[in-house]
Amino acid sequence: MTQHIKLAPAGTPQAGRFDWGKLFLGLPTIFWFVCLIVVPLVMTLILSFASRDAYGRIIYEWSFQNYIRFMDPLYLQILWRSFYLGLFTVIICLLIGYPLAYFIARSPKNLKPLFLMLVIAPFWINLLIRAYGWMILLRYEGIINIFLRRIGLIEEPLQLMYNDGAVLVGLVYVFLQFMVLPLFATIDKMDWTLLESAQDLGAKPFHTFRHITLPLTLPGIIGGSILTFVPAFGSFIIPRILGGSNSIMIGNIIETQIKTARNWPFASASAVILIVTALLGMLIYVKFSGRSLMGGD
Amino acid sequence: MQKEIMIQLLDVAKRFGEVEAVKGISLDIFPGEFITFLGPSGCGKTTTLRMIGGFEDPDRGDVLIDGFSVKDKKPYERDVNTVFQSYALFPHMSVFDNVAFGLKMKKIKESELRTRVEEALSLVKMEHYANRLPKQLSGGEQQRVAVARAIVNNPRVLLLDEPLGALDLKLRKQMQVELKHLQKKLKMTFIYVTHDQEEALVMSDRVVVMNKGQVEQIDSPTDVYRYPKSRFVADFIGETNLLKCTVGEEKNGLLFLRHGQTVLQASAELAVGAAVGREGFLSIRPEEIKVYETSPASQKSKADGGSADTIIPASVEEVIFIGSTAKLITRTKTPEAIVLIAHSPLAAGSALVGKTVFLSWSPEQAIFITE
Amino acid sequence: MTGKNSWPFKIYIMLIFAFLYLPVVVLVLFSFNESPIIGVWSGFSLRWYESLIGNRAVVSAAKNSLIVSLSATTAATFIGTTTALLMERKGGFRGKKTMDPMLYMPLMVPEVVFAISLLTVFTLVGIRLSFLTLILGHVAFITAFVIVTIRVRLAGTDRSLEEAAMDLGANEWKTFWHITFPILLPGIIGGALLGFAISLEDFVITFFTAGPGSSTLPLWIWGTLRRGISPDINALSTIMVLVSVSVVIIAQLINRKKL
Repeated sequence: MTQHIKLAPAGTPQAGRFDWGKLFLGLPTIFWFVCLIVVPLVMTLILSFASRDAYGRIIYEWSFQNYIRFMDPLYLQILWRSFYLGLFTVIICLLIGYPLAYFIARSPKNLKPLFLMLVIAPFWINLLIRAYGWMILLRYEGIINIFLRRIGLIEEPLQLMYNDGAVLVGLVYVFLQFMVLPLFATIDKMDWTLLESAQDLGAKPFHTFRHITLPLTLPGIIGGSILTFVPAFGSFIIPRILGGSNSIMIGNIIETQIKTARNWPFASASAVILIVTALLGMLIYVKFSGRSLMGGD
Repeated sequence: MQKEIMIQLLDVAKRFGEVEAVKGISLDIFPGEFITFLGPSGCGKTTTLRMIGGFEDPDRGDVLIDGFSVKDKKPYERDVNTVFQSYALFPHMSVFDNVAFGLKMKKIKESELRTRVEEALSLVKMEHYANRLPKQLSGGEQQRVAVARAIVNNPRVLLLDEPLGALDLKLRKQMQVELKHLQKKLKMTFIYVTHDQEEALVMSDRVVVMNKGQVEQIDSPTDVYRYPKSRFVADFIGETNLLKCTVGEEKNGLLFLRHGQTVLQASAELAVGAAVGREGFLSIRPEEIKVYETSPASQKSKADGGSADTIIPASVEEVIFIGSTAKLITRTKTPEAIVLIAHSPLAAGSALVGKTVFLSWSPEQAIFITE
Repeated sequence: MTGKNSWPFKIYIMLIFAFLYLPVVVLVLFSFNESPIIGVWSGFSLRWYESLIGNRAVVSAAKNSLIVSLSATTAATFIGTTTALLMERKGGFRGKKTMDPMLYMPLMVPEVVFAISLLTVFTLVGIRLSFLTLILGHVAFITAFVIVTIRVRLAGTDRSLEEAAMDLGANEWKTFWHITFPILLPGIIGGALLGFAISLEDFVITFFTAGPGSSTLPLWIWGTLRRGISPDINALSTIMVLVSVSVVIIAQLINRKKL
């Protein structure tokens, strides 16, 4: 008993049931993504072209004046400082983070999670508290000065805080994990037999590292550098606490413009400049590091 | 009256992006039969099964169960159950709760549910494992639970997607027999997917050989093996000698095939579409080739007009010991120097290497394939 | 692997660990100091902890911190779960591919920018800075982290489990309730704890989006810090370090739990 059933013409879509499940799932996502992420960022972009009156009220007249104002040497110098502090943070984090990640990746399997946890744990301490910890160590009457005087190395306390060095120490301390974790991920995944075969083929340790390890872990280096650079470049708590008025970064401009000067359009323009500079820096870095490490020799 | 059809595939097709996984398959499946989709990976067998189960929507065509289209039916609205390749046992539920899941969804009463779950578990000899968690079971045990979980619902059809793929060889062979017995006992329709040709031959009533999203042949295991209808089937199932030939003439129920200057015979009855001048392949199974150390007398005299066995002298190049027999790799002493593989119980072993032997087969065992 | 680590390498690694823990150790150590002068040890004492408990501003800030982090975590976990399901499970929707990398934007945009953007929107829309804005700010920031955690778990679960449930007669809702949700639960809890830890850790978003009446612990520390350092801050920091680190460790343990 073969039935004759009319076939649906080819290519007709499924019966038009409306997928309520999809809508239900979608609503919270839309709320979060649109209202709390996209709209705020877009608003900031728009506001950066506005201006304000004497009382801090926003005037909706569009111009580039905030950006033009930023071209003042005062601000450009701060931008430049943010940039090189961010860059040095990346370099120091790399010098500290690479051996550390390598050490953890090569440690015995049962110890790996422990070491990893030890490196990550300080990361979960409130940013402010971590900066405070360094304040205790570095300040004029701080632990380091007390210690150095106690062992007779110095007569008068050193001014360790309120300079670029202090900010750099703080930035490295606070963002090191952003470097270590991606590096660990790539080094840990690396095929160790490759190193052995390189040595087997007569490569000295330095050459093995230069020609095998380094290129293989390049994605981790690039990823870690970007993850470290962006927050270091845009940081404002660390320079505020450890740098004071001597080591102001672009994040501090934004903060002051919002909290004290009440010039929101200018703060917005500074934020846009921050993001754009960070993006440009990353692009140049990715191109440069890719070529110099992979294409060299 | 025609035989009742349980499942009907009407020109179903499915594409994933650029890949045309299934290119229009039509097929009737009858109640109580054990039918196997066999083919290499990527041939579309699993996709076809998943379209019957309702996990993929066909782009074209229709699937009928008991004569009704199930096109718009979700998996939970279809009276079929599946044994998944990965078993897909719910990790947070005991064996009992896994098996009871389908019945609970159907709101079966507690007392009946208990009896049916225990019955299903005892069918697969897992009644003592009811309180275990899946991760506490071995692969074979998990496989049994997966079967019990599907059959407890008394589905019209049971779909099995490479259910034995993850088991080791010995356990796999044991489970093949058990599954086959279970199917006979329950008189349930089984649709089975595998890439293992031996498994397909051992278990099935009918085998659907698939390649590149299309059906190559649907036949009983014996026919699929002995009378392959395409070069792919002959090559994929078992080992065979394939020779490219052209049909010379047809006489007395025999096809005379030219392979270069060598003329070989094949049964005309078994060769479909073999017109004179047509090119094709001759398939001879190694175990059908008899090996003689001296030239044998013809089995039947030519005067009978019946088919005479082909006899070709060949030199032995290599002997490979494969257990119950030896595999001989030979080169014929004809101008083409054809390499033929033959199975021979000749215990002579490596002593045969370099010697001349006589290879012989009957035309009924030489199948001419036009595709 | 070849050879053992050399001594200079080992010392270097030890120095790095010292660098990582020196500020924390000093911080914790001087929270137990008798003397109010940080840097001069004069004996063990719990007086700073006692004074914390007696400090009404701190107690109320702690309460506020908990309210903010718990509410933000609850909302972020809900949004994170539905988003993860949407991205990993529900077939396609238009713009899915474009949206995928954008979900991680909050992880890439500097926090200050993110914070002032939120502040701008709240102000322009006319929402007064209050608990609500603070919680919304935290939700905005931590949800991305929750999504990542849950997606990893979801991607690691066998899709055929859900197919098997449907095959056995469970509709979409029952499949979610009986199968997807219980299996996903450790991931959801892990994500929630992670979100909670990040919310506790955060200062920048809090600094910009908190209203006058909603002082939380980091804001109290910030305010106190302006008047100079004090062992009170050490004691409070020690407690916060303990809470944060234990939350993260629990999250790790739960998330590692095998299927």
